Amino acid sequence: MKQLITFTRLELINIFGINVRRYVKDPAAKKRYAVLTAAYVILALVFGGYLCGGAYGLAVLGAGEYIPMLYPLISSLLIFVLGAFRAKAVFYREKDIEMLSALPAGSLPIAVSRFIRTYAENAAINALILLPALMICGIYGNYGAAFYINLLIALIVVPILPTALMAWAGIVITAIIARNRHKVLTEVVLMLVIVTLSFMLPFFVGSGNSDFSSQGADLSKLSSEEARQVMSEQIAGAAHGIEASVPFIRTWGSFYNGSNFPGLLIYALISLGVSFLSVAIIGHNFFAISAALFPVSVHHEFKMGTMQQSNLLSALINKEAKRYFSSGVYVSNTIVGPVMALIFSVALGFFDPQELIKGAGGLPVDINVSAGLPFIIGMIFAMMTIAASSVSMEGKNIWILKSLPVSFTDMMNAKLLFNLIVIAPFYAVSEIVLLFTVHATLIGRLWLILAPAAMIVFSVTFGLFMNLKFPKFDWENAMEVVKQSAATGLSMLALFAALLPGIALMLIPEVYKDIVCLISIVLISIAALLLYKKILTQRV
Amino acid sequence: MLVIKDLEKIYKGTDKGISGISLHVEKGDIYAFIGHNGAGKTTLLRSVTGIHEFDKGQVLVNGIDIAKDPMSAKRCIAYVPDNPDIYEFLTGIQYLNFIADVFGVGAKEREEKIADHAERFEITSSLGDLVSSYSHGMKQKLVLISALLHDPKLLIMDEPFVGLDPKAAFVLKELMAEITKAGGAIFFSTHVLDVAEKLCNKVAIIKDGHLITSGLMSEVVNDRTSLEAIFMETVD
Repeated sequence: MKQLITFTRLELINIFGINVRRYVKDPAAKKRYAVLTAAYVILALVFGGYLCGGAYGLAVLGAGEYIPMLYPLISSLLIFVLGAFRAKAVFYREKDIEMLSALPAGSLPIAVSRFIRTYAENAAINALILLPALMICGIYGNYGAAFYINLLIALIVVPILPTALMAWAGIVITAIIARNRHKVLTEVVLMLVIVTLSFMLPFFVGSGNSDFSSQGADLSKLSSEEARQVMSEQIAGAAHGIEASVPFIRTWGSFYNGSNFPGLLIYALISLGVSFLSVAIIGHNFFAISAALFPVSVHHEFKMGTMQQSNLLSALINKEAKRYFSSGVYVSNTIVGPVMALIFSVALGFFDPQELIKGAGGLPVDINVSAGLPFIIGMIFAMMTIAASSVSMEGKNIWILKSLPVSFTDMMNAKLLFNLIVIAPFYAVSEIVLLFTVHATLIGRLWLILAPAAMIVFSVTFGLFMNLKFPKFDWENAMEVVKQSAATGLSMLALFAALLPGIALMLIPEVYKDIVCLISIVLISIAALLLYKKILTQRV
Repeated sequence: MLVIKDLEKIYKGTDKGISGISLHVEKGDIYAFIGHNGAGKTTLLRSVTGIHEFDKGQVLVNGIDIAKDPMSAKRCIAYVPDNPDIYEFLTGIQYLNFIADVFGVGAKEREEKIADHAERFEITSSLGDLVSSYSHGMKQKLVLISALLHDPKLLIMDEPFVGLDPKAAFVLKELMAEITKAGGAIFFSTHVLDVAEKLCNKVAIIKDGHLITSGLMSEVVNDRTSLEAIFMETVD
């Protein structure tokens, strides 16, 4: 028990980086952490607001009863999907296994402490999703005290099972990756498959809907009461589809709306039982599992051969490439954008976004989606750029470039060029595909070429600029840099700002579209150029 | 070869760093730099090699001011850190080729040097393996080889003997003698005082960021005492 407390204290002391933030003295690091915290708060508010808005919409449309069904499901899926890949870095951390193995400590306390830490992090995510949504549900549903008691219990119970399943998924995923010769490719493919399936899940679960008589109704032609009725029917139809695909969901929802307290208790006990069993099995074999997950590299007898000289820029770009493709986390998180953009370009040949919105009942205002397509495609391309983490990814190796006769300009050019080189093939293929999947005038075709290109260049330069402003070299796991840094967070926010021209284009009259497009592309390009010049004045 | 004038570097938000350091390393010198843990040895070495920007003072490498023309100054230097944190995603040979490309070392020349030094340090057979699979000592050897590829005029090393097996330490001493005989200079920090006393012709002792003593080894350590005794006396 003492060991469990010791290890749990160790795991929790730096949860969300609290301990580092508390003791860091370097003013630049303090500033970086402050910005990172602010970025997280903003993103949490945006995400929470989005989910809250969804819950409010459901409540106002008289579909509030579905909130206790849907939101715990969303939370559980998110925790599981995000956690399955985090498990390798969080649960089975490679770097400290050797040190821990040498200590007079049992494997079970170590495993349990890591489970507790992971559960605590997942509980925070769960609270962000559930708390505002179920509060809204409670207010609009006029539920009694039992609902709010169940809400508190839901905050504790919902993350338990996904956390346990995440630990098992982590073993499976890490084992698949570790035993495959092409580790990075395997991790990227697994990530893309899981992310794509997660996106496609709503389409599968909604397919059981057969009571959708108001499909295709044009909401703009209806009164507000009629529109409300239509949307309520559509939501009811979607909910029936989910119930048809996930039969226990209504029962599960009753656990959280206060109407089935015994059921909630039984579910909580089952969750705890599964978790205890999982932790017991994994904990008992923790060191053996960890050793098996991270096999030692095989030695290949080297024979000296002829060598070739490369110029400096090629050598630097080659180094960037080798670093990039050596990290599954780096690749899987930054290749998603270009891959999704390519998939989207292909998908445009099979569905028209305009028809899709009409089929779903339309929106209260007229929008022309195809007018904003160039910028939507550009935004998808430019999500999570490689450059936004490329300075931080130098990590403890930064002394190498700083001690070598490598100019800062060459260093930055290599990082920018490498990012563009990775995106270029996806961009080129996507543009060819768009020739066939999107019908556009000559001018429209020009915007489809120029707008994504401008946004890609802007996001790459902005990402690098942000990373220079907020570098993080003292990391142990690439995930801290790629997913959890101020630079990547701020880059994402800036990208939403760059999408504003696209949104404007969807709303403004046709006659102004070309001029707005041209001005937007020019402004984004100028911003990119100014950022590049600014980058060259920075230093690491 | 290396002239340090009134160098000062204080870390922001702390009062730790170095102050008022002046040193002169000449051609042919093997200059030892010793001090207690946290004295400022690594700070000085990193400031001299351009890794840290310093607050005051001047550093001239072969007459070139490192603050004004860092590229030219760095081409004369090779730096070997105390912790060989090098690119683990590269193989040993890829890392050496990368360093050689940065310094513009020709293909034939690098082949000969890598073959020679790798043979001396006995890591030829491991050059095809990822650096991540190397032990600390192997990484240290790799960094040493990479430092020698461009025939540096000034070799700056931070505790270079740590992690090296006895044979590798012997090879390193041989190389240090060869470099200084060819007109180069070596400036390195170490905790191994008897090696410093036997190998070096000059020594500097730093305490709490300030230079306590510097000069010829024969003058700092006279016949009646040892470097260890001088060091203990100085830091106490």
